[in-house]
Amino acid sequence: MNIHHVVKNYLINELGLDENIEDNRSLFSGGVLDSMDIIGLLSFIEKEFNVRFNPFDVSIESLDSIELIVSTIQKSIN
Amino acid sequence: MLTRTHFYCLICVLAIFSVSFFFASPPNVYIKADKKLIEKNSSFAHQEVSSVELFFHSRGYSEHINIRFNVRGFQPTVTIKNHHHLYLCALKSNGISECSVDFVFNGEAVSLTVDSGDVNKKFQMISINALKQKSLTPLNRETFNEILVLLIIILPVYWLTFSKIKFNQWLIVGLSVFILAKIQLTFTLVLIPFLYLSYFMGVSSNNYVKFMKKPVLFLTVSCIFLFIFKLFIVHSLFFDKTLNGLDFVVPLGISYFVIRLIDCQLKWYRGELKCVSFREFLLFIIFPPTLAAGPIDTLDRFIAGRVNRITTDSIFVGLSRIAFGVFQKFVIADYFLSSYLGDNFFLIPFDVSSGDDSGVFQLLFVSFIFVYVDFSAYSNIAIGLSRLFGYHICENFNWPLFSTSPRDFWKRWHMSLSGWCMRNIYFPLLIKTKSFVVPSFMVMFVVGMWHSISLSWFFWAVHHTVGILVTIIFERKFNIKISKLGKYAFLLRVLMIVCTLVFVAGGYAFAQYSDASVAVNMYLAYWRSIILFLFKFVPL
Repeated sequence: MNIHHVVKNYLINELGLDENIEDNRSLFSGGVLDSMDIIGLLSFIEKEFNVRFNPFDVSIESLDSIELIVSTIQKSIN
Repeated sequence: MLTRTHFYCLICVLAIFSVSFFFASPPNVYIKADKKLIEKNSSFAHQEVSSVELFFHSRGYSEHINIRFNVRGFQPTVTIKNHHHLYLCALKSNGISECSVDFVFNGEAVSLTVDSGDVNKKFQMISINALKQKSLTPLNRETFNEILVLLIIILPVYWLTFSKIKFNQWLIVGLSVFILAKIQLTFTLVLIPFLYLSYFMGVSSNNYVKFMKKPVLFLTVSCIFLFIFKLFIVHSLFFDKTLNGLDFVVPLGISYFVIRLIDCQLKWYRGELKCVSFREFLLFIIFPPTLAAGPIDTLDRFIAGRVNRITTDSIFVGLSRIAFGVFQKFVIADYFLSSYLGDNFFLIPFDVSSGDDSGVFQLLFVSFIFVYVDFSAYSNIAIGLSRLFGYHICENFNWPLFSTSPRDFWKRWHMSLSGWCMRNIYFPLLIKTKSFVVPSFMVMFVVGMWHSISLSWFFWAVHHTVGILVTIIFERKFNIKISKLGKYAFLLRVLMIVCTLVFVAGGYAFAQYSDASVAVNMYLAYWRSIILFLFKFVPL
């Protein structure tokens, strides 16, 4: 399963991001998404990839762009 | 290289400093209310007596206590034993008499007798309220002069050695330790080893502390540290300033130290901080400009914010920010706003208790503006001083008076603390609960308790949580893009700003009055007065 593809699809289809959004674009610190969107995103990731995030391990910065989200998911899966 | 622009800038800065110092008043006149200082063994009661004796004791230096007697019908005589700082005693038109007592020393006790002057004249009802005046903002002309002298001594050496980073940074650490030790020697002697211990725990890999998760270990140690000092604070406030000869007073900026430490520890634990020396860590925690009141930066951003060289431009930018901050503090906050608050803080709670709500809205609104101007003045001075030391630190305010919702307000107000709460409370709880209700409340609760562990601040947390939750629900339910409303967009924005300001100002009832019963009365009176005002426009 391509993590990058799945995450990007969710962001575009569910959270209304532009299709051409760059992978390194700041999502939360750049004001593209707000903290309410995190709830949906987290629930989706945990369900889709069967991972459970530890509050101490994951920071808001580690989900701030598509490439960071993908990297965080990969770390959690491993 | 000095240019003509620099020259004009220097003249402006000096002019602003001069005006500010002209207005600056030596005493701190900001006040907080507290009526718990009447001792329980005072003999007043709802009984028919012609004389009552009251016992008061002070819990700090230079306290000014305003006492009001609600005695029906006649003006009592008030006498005082073992004290001569008593200002007597005016009969107000509504049957309330008032007097005030100045305490000079901590722990001072007085016995105050209220007498009708005639054994046959009995008090049918006597109720007594006392409000304590307390300094909240420590910066005054004298302390600012001391800061200027320190800067004049240290800055030339600092600028000349700016390229020698290690020496330069140790120089500021030395300055900071000197300031801390001058204020609280014992606290400084405990603080430095504690900081070394937390640095060691942070940078050492998990091999050293396998037996326990590092954050858990650190948080435990921090809590013990905070707890010990809180105990000393409580002891020094309620009993005596000296404890076995040690100078235990409220440690300067202790809350700021601890929350910066927590931020560092969590970043270390996640592996987000690398290659930080003890010198840089120590400098970040006790950086002199941010020592007392923030802003609360992050360690990585703080280190990256050091400029390569100090330029004339950066010095003038720093001086301008300091001048603006001093003007805000001495002229706007202390001279204009707090002179209004000074009297009304005493009077309006009494008016409210006797059914007159007319002054509450103005009082709480001015309180809100005062706290904003006062706090942003501190931030401006801190940011300006940091520029003089060659550091770009984060901003603390982003025009909060133009917030369009309570949620927007917390993105613009005390942003460095809001950011800290987002990173370390809101987001971890959001991961755990997948809900915004608990994290929103916990952020407000922690911020409230961070100010003061009291029922008033708990109510403050509830007030702001409700505001944030209502905003979130409203935004989700009515997903309106204001910009699409055309010519009504401006009007709607103004209305939202006004509503936000009114809501936020209401919370100052809890922030300003430490006595929860006074605070709740003020809060209810505030909303009552607004509803009555709005009803004037409703045709009946």
